[in-house]
Amino acid sequence: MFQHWIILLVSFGYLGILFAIAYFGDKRADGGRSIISNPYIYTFSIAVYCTGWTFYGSVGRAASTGVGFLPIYLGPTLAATIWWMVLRKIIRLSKINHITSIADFISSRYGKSSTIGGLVTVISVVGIMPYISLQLKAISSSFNVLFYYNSGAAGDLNLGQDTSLYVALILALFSILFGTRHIDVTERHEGMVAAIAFESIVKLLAFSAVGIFVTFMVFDGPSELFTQATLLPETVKLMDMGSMPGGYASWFALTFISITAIMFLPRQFQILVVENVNEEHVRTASWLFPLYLLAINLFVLPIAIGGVMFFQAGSVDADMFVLTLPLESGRPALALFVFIGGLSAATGMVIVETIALSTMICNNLLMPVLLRFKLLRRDDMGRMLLGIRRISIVVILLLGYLYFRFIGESYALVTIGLISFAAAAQFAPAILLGIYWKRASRTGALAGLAGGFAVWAYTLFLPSFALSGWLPMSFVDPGPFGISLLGPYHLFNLSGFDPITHAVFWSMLTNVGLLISVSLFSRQEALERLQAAMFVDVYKERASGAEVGNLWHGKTQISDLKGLLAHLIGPERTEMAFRTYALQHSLELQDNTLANESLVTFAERELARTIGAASARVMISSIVEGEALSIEGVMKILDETSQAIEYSRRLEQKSRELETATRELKRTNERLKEFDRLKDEFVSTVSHELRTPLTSIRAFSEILQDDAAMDKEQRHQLLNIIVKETERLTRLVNEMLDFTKIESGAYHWAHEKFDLIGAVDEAMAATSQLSQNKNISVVREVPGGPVNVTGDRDRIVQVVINLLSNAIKYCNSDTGRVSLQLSPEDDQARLVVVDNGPGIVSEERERIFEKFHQLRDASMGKPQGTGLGLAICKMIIENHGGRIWVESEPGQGSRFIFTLPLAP
Amino acid sequence: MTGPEEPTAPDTGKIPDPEPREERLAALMLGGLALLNFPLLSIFSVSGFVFGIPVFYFYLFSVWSLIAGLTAFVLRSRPQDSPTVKDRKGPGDT
Repeated sequence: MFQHWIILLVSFGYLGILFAIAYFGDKRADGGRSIISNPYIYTFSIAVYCTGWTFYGSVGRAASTGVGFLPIYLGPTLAATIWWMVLRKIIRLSKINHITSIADFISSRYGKSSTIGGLVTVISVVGIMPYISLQLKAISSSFNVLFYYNSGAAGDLNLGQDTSLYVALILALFSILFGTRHIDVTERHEGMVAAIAFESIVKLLAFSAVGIFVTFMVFDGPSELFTQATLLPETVKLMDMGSMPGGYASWFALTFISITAIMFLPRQFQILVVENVNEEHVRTASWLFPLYLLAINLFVLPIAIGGVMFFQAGSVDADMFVLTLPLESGRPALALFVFIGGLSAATGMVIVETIALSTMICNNLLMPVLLRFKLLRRDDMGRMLLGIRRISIVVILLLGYLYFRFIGESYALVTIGLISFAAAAQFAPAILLGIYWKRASRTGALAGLAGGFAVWAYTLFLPSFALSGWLPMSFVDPGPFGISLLGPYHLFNLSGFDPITHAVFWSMLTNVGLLISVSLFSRQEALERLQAAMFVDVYKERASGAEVGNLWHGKTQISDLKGLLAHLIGPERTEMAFRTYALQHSLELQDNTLANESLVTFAERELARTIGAASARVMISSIVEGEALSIEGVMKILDETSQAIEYSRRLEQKSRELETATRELKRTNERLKEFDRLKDEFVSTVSHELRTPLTSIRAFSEILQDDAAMDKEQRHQLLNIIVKETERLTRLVNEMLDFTKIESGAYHWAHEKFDLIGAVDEAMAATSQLSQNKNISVVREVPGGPVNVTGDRDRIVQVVINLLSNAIKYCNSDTGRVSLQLSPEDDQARLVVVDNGPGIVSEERERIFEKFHQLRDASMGKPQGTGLGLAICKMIIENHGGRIWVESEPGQGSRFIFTLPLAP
Repeated sequence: MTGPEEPTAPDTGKIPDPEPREERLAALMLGGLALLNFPLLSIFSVSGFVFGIPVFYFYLFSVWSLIAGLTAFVLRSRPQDSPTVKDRKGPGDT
């Protein structure tokens, strides 16, 4: 119908546009202005779910089974309702761990096991192979229809097969260009996502266009179309469950496997999780994506019914109705547009799938092997990774081609796709149980995956070889070696199911059963338990605040870490990553110093972005010396026990704090009691002291009053006593006033520079009368020059007077000796008052400076003074920045000493 | 006198959702599964037309849009929602 070159030109032109979009997307991403950071782009990119199978195969399936095509799209709609919980959790986990693929995710969950990663990769490659062949079939069939339609050569099978080989090679080339352009192979491909979102719009428009054309132009609207359909026996049965093979059981099985496929097909995981920019986008995608599916399926049945009625008696392959209807109606341009839509759907799927699979093959299959056998050369690892991925893409597409070439021809599009869906469903138990059940163990997952995969291969994959003649047909019916109990389509004689439902039932039973039972009977290693706890409790903050995964315990130099990273992600990005780390933790990173645990973990995560978690772990342990896992680290983060321990630790701490507070309170209480006692004593002392002079004043005054005849000399003597007693009263009251004033902070201190020698002389003059009365000599030793200090001179004089009068007071008359020594010492003045009195016992020495404390002296009977003198001295000296203390032994006399800072 | 201070439980780090959003979504999924499977499905697998469209298809597409609509309703942004994880930078950034 069309010239070769027109179709090729349009096809390559379209792929060129896709490539331009991808290139633009990558450029923007490099510039930090992502074009895919948008919930709508995210939603459209998820629509990579709709492949060539949806585009051509749905109509084909609808033409024979009616509603049979729908469960594949209703499943994802149901799955989307719980994306907000499940998918968001997976995305969060993947971001934290720099997950690169579904194999990486499962292997990370189960203790970063390389074995699991490898097994998941094998299941993916084998399971997806039919699916890729399906895309090749879709593209080459549509190409052939467009090219050979009505030209009489449509039956040339060889030509068709050659077309699909070329298609495979061209798609390989494009996948390589889209996914593996950069040396720095990281998990994300922004440009590719942009291109996928674009192709999703194109395929929706193209399919809707042909749908509207068939419904409204070939027929006169849906009512007319359906009314006509009731007249034909082939079409009337398409309008209810009647023509659905396998009935409701099959319906349920298809819904189930598509619920799992929408999340766990490698390419869906790639787009939904790995390429996700912001987990908030899930909110929009959860409802918009089901609507996209609804829109693209709206016209499937009208086209199918229209096609069946249009081309009576099945003369045309129903899979190609979307092309043949416009062609037959003389609309080649529309057919070409539809062809582009189908090309979009198929290439989109192939590109994302091969990129996801090649990442898995490289990181989870080849890297562990290369690492184990030490086949990795450090110097050009980045280039080597890129090479591995490119070769993987070519190999995957060639495998797809081979499957198509040898097997695909015998199947309709949909049946091939369902085989892959059933394979992807095998990942669901390991992932879903893994993120909600900590006990799910590595051995359990391994057993479940291997068992499920084996049953899948036996009940679906191998029979496809038999049906194509590569195995004897007797393998399927009655069964291998003629044992019908082992028949892959009716295992243990379980009948009544179609092959897909049958396979899903047995494989899921095996998978879930083994996963759970083996997990319940196996022990998890430390790293495994750690990863399990982290995956299940990703939303829980750790009580201890320990950074999850900070477990490296061995030693390595920062330069070694840098070297390792540089080989894989390039020196510039390594430098940048380390600089960012240093900035975030405000550290200086010296190349020749040891890296701490957190930095090693950081490096491991950076590596994981490129080569996956399991391989990153192996690489890091190759340069970290000593014990790699710190047991305390593991224990610290391990499940609830650690939280319980933490909880009781906090309780203990709280009770310790309480005990301390109680002790403190008790002490304070005792001190308060003591103060209370002292105050009582003080009041009684003071009242006593006040009463004594008052009594004598009153007595002598009464004598003077009564005895008028007293002689003058006697009267004078009495008056003298009264004056003395009054002075004593005044002194007492003044002292109390001073004390309260200083203590309350209301006293205004003078601030002047003065000579201490002058102050000493003044104090000695003031006490000379006292010393003369008791016949005690006071010796003064002062330096020749002035001793200047700054402060309140009157107060300092008061202190010296107080010390001198105390010394005199406690000395015996006549034999008493008091000396005063003043000397400058370094930057302070030191004044010592020495007496040869009775001395002070040690327990009293500590307390004589306390207020209200008075020396008790058995020989004296009652305390003398107010008990405030020394307390006032202490306050004054300390207020001047000095220190006052006493040195004494009972019977040896006392030395009262104070120091004051010298004036500058 | 007040007793000693209550010991604080370890944080779970999760702010309780004022609306039981997750439960609503789970209920929606279960409801959807019931509506789109045997036996409810068999009630609508009959011949006949609604607005010119076969009953069965009309039913399936109605439930389909209903599920999408209810999901959107349950997940609608509320003021107390705060972005949980910031936008991730492009591959060129680290």
